[in-house]
Amino acid sequence: MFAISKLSIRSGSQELVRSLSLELQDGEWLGLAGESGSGKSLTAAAIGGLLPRPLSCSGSILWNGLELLGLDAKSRRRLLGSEISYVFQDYRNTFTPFLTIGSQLTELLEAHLSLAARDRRQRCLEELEQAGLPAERVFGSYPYQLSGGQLQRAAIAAALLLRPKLLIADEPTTALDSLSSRKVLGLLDAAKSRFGISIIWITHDLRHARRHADRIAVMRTGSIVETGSARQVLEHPAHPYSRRLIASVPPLRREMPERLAASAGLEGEDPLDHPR
Amino acid sequence: MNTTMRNAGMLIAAAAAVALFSIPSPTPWNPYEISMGERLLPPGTEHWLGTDHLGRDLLARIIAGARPTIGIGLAVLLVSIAIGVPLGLLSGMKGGRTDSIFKPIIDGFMTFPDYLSAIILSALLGPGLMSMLIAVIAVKWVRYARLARSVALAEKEKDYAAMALLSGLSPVRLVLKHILPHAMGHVAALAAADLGKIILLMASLSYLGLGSQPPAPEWGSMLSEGRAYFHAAPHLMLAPGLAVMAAVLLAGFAGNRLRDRYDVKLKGGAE
Amino acid sequence: MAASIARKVLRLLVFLLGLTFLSFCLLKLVPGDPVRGILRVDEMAATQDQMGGIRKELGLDLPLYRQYGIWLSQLLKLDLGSSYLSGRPVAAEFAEKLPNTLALAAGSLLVMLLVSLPLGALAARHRNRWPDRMSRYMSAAVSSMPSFWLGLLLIDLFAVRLQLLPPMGSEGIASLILPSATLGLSMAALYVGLIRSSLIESGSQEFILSARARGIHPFRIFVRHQLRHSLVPLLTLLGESLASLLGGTVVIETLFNYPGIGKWIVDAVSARDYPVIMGYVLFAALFILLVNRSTEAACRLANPELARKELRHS
Repeated sequence: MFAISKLSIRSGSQELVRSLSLELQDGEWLGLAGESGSGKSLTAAAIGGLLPRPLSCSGSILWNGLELLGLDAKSRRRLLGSEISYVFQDYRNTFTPFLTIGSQLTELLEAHLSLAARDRRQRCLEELEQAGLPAERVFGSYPYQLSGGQLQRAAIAAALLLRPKLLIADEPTTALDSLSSRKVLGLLDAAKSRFGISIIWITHDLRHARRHADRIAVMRTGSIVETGSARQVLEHPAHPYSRRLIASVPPLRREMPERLAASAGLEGEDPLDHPR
Repeated sequence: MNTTMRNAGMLIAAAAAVALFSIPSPTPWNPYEISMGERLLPPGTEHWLGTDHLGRDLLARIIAGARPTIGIGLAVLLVSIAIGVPLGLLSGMKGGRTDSIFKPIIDGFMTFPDYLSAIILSALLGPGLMSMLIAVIAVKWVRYARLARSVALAEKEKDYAAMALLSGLSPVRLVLKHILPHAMGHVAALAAADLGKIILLMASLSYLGLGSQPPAPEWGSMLSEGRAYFHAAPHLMLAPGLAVMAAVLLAGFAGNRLRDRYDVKLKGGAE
Repeated sequence: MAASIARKVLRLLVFLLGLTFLSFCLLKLVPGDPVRGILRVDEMAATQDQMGGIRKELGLDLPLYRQYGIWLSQLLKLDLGSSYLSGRPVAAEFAEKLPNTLALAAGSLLVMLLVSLPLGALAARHRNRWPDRMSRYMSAAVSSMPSFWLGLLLIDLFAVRLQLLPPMGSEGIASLILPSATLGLSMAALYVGLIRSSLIESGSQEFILSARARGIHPFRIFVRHQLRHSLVPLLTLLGESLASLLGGTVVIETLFNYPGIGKWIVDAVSARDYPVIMGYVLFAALFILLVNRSTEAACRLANPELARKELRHS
């Protein structure tokens, strides 16, 4: 239902993403891993047609039979936010600083649906609550009045507002502390089980991958070096680069003192091994 | 515009500048000589740009006017820098009471736009070349003082400065060897754009009768003189106006090059 | 809260006092004798007695600080004295001419916005392509011209050759067009570049990308998100341009023989008409201060985060 074929992204004469091919099934959580500069964010941006102006791309991205590359602006706008949603790493700048969260959520609804103002507000409040936030307060707040974790969860609420089929999360937890990260990933999990959305989750850190992802694809300098089920890639990485990437994950269990584990509610548990 | 074109342009401009400044009167006509029989002649073979309302050769006056217009502009700029930068550095480095004297002065001047302050100061000081110069310098030095002050404040905090002072380097030498060159880069960038503005400002002041007085062949006052004869002899205003425009454009050109060169140094060089 | 307002007002008053005193001193200390102008010494012979008499009448023989004191005390009674040239009260002439200058300023501002905003937006949108380069060259050319020279070119084209508009004077809107166009165009040339960079900077903000990722219409993004982000720097620019306008009107009014306060001050300067000059200086100071304060307030309104930061620091 979602397939990228031979996607190439170029900046001038330099190839940033080389002939990349990737598939995603309905309701599947794909982890796209790799270090900075591997081209993962560019690939994600290309899906929604959000590449910066000087870059060009070729290949094909099929979404339920619809070719996304080169799609006309109007159809693309219809898709974005309603069927394909994004969550970005920089939560500070996901929302426009001088508008309230609520006004931006209702703006999103307005752009895609025609609902009465009261219904719009209601829907936004519900979604914020689902995200575990104090709905009324967050609705009326400006971005600078919320913490990083709250902002990111509000961003997820915005992304899920119209029940998209595909959610692209570009390093959503990289800039968050581990507790907020857990909440965020928990939200994505919940959305996946409730609505069956597919998730492309970009990360450079595989710590949480086993717990959440179904499949993992490892990227390096513009190409995919390995794909497979999460368990398989993490436990038996075939490619040497994948092995290096996984090995670079700091081991939590041995280092974490008992007190800390207790206060985080993780006594007796291995954070890497938490059952789903 | 590619680099070869730019370099060529610079060379031509430089050559023209040298010529203008060094040769007292490259044409056979005396810019001051009045000849009432030859008033308001249009451009022709004898007088290449024609004559003005007193029969003086226009081309000679334009060339003669380069020195007052551009030369004085440059002088004003340099004097403003010479006054502003040391005071700004002093205020920034010493802080404390010195700063508390200068900062309000600087802030006070900064609330008013350059142009308006210069007009008002000129108005207060009355017509005449000297008062115009004083007015423009009095307005411009503040910008450079403010720039130097903020550079001093910023550099003062940096590690290398603290280390140098700790290892016994006298503050004066610190300023001279490290902070001043750093500040001069910024100053050059500001000055580059400023020269054109100063020329325009002085031309306007002269036009208002607040600056150079006739019979000086300064382009601004030539524009003022030519105003009355605009319909009969438009070339009287066209020529000096074009001259001013060319000068300002060239100044801006040179300024951009200077600023680019400074930026490259900043990016490539290290402290 | 009240204390800080009181402190600000006090600082303002001190500033104005210092400014006017300095101006006063400069005015009187510089050589130039208004009495000669009043008696039109060039046109008719005047005796020393006559000049002395007028000097005494105008209080010009008193020591400097006393003259300033008199001026100040009259000011508090809202009396700005009478012009040496025309004999009429300064305040009255001022009230007569100020609306003309304000009309000119408004017209120029309008022209400036109408020209620079679309050009800047176009240049930002088509960065480094021909609309951008064209506007850059044109701005460079126009901003290198003396404004009054541009005015002359416009007069020559529209008033003389095409006979479309009156070259000078003050009859109705028609005579406002050329001066406003001149001033507006010369200022637009300066601001197009700034508007362009401000829009480019705001367009590259992450939250603009996020808004696009939500499928919001680009025009709505431009107006509601991008423009408002540029609002603070643009408002600051506007404030500065208002202040520069005051300076620009002096030259333009002189060129077009337009009866505003700009031309008034130029005439006053050559005649050393002290009361008028002092009145103008006072007005200019008040105007600039008003513009600055309003700009700051408007910026705070546009960006609530700014207001909160200021509150923290004060």
